[in-house]
Amino acid sequence: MDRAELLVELGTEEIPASMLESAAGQLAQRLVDGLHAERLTATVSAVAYTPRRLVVALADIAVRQEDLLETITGPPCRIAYDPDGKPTRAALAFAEKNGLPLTKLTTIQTAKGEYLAAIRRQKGEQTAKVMQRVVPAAIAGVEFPKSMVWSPDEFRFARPLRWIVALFAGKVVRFGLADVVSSKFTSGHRFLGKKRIPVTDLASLKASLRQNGVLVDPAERVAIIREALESAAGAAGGRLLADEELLGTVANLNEYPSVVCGAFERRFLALPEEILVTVMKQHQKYFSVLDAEGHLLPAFLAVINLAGDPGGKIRSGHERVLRARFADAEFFWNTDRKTRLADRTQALQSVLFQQKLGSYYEKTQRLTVLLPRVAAAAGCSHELRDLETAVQLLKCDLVTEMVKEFTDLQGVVGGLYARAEGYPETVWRGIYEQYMPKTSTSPSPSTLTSAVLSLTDRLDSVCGCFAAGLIPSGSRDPFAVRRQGNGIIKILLDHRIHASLEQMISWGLATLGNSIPETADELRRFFEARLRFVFEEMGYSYDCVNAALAVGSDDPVDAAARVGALQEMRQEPDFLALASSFKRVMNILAQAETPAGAPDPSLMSDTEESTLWQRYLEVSPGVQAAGRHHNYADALRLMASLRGAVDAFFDKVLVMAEDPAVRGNRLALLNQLARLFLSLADISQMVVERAG
Amino acid sequence: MSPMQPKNFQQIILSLERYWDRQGCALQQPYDLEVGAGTMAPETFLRVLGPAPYRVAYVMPSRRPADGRYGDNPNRVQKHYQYQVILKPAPRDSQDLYLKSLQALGIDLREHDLRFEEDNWESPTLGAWGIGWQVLLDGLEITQFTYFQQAGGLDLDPVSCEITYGLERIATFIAAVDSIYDLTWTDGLSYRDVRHREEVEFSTYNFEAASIPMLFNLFGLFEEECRKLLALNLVLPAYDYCLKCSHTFNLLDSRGAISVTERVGLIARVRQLACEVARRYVAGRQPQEPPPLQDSRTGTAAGRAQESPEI
Repeated sequence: MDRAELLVELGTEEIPASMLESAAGQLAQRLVDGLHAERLTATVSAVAYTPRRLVVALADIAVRQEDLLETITGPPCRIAYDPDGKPTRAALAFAEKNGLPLTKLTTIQTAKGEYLAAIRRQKGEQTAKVMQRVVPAAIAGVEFPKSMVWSPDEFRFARPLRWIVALFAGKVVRFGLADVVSSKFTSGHRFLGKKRIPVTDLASLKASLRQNGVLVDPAERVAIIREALESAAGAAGGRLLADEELLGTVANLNEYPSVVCGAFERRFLALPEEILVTVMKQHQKYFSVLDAEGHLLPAFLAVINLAGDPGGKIRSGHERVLRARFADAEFFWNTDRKTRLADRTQALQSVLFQQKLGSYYEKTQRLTVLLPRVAAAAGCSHELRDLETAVQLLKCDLVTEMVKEFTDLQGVVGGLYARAEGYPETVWRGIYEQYMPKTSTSPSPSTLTSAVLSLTDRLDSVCGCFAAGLIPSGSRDPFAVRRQGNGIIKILLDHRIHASLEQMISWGLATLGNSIPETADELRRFFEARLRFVFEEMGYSYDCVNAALAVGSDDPVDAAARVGALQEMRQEPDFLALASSFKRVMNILAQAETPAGAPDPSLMSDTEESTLWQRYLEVSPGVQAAGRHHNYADALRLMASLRGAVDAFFDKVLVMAEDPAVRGNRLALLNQLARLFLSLADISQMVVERAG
Repeated sequence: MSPMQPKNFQQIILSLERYWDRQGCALQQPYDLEVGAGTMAPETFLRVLGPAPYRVAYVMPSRRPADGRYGDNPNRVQKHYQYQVILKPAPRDSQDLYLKSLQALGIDLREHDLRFEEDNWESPTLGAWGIGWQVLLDGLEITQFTYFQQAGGLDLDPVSCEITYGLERIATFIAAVDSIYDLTWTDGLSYRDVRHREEVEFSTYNFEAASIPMLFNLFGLFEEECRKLLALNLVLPAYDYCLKCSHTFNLLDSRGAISVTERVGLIARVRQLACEVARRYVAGRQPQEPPPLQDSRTGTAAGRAQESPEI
């Protein structure tokens, strides 16, 4: 059968950069799913987008649906025919209902016997007609984080739809959606292209758009911008400060990107580089240029939506805007430093942290109480004096003009002001890095003391939110408590701080005056879930995580050591075999009454029994010592060396012996073995696939 | 079309007036109360409610007491001028109409970097929000472009298009100057001549001299009056008092007299008034509903765009 292409282009007003990729992907998926539901298959041949259009092409679609054969079960044959084999009223009624003569009916065999049946053939529809249902439904199914209405039918989309190209086999799939009727006409770049350009298929759409100032493939735009940025930075005498996130954003803000290089006055270089880079990136979406030593050059790169700037008008416009921004930052930098950070603590009383948890002043008070405990747990009590100074100043930048204007710089600004005021590095760096890590994959604070400050702050926030009932559930987590929790786990792991979560929870809640046991329970479950999340993000398989956490999750660093060892050991055949035997041990123990204490060697009648006990006694001290040093790979390897003895035991020895004394003794032996294992991990949770 | 490039601040206003006049807008005059933005004037807040089509344009002096900088900052002022346009319902070519207005100001868009960047406008005091963009011209924000979705807590049907030009921003762009005070207002008269003393004195008033007890007192009195007028179903006078509450709140805020906790509560009180005004405005609309505005060019209702699609 003939096969053809479906091309859909949604022309819109500017869709936010962050929504484009998902929207185009959803459109492709919904088209494929919609066709599938209509017994049509398709291959996605293009998914592309710009701020003003989403493009999807599907190839290799049959031009007509397959016929649908439908079997309708009728009455049982014993009712449909009388004993003479003549059709009854039931048979006639069934034939009439299905519009078939009796002779066209058939019978089918079911579990309940033979039944009369009608087979109806529903003729396949022309795909072009099917598309008239599938395409508008797919478009309507695209979801956005935030959408709007603009037309009388209240159709929702991220921004208004202005044209729809819908072509199947080169012909228009005609339908109306919102206030738009589909057609074969696309539209070019707002200022560089023509409007109302007829297209016939994906190839002609791409070619026409290219001629009319639109590069529809986002990867091509990224590549063009990257190259233009690098060469412009070189021409400015430096190199690009690479920023993939910003690159992705600007590629989604333009249909025909090029790069303009501007300059700013050298005097602004007296401002901290962090501030200059943030102003350029967050506010103007400009890239920075570095010199050979990695310092900022007084230049910036702006990505524009035109082929170039021959007259230099665009450059001087951007320069003027940046000059005003930098002048503001310079003003804040100079004004803020007239008030010392330490003199700002009272002002924190008027900055709300959270309705039920009070102001940042109150938060600071709590942090002061928490700090010595967290510092002791992290083993840096000797730096407590500097840490206490840092905690007092930690949130003071929230009332500076700089942070009011550039909120993304909170923490960083406080650190910079503290450094300018001459505080020691422990203090200013701690303030500077307090919000690290920003995500579970970005770096933790660089020093142990900074880590302690970040931990203290997050512990208060997480416990505070739970105490205030702001517990994340499902997709609801307005205070980003999960991210804070992930941060705590990540810092503990990165800095190898052996802390007890149980203790940390109790400190946090005590500082908040919360003594409700349920809150502590919820926090315990919360941290275990965060631990699982972080481990899985680190690439550990879920059964290793389960096996490790089953025997304890209170000290994340210790848990990580156990997970890591299990992940390593799961490759080794001895270990896998032992895991299976261990499951057997656990099953036997679960079904029998097991005496406590060690087995009595004098009751051991079989060699294999005594050998296992001997081997146990040999490895046990080594396993325990390795475990104490969190060296779980060695401990597990020692355990794995028991494999031969364990296998021989199960081959030759009947655990459930008739003599109750012998039986009890053998159970006691297995129990010792199990307890040694459970001090490391519950390997019965491991998924073992046995070969053969 | 060869538009005359406006030479000074007032010619920019004149160019916009002429342009939106041609688009069939009623040219209104600034509302005679202090407001924070052109959106708050009744010609926007009330007119976008209900089904009646409407097109209006007007200059609105907008007061943001906390933005005052004693006349020292080249771009920040406690009072600036907005040019506000409402197209109800939003026509299919809203963006094009806007871009043509920039061309009418003599801006050649093939020589400048213009973009629509996501920015969803929201006013908690008015219970209003919309979806749209800030419009950047060579990196400078010159306009807020919004499709209103709600006002006074009510879903809007039809949806209106709001275009809010920052007049000083556009003027500094056209004149290529760094400070708004260097703008020419008209021949022989600068923006500084016209406005600088006002900025200095009002900054001092907003930050230092405004009487806090009096303002708190006024806030209560205005709120009470608004409720009383609402009970009498005098919706437009009630809205005036709602606006007075809002400006009083802004003054208290610039005086640093409002704690974070109070802030939320006071905003909620103004929003309650605005929502009640909106509800009663819609309920009482039928008798004095204005006739649909006629589109000056086609003679059809300017509302629903029935003409064939732009492409």
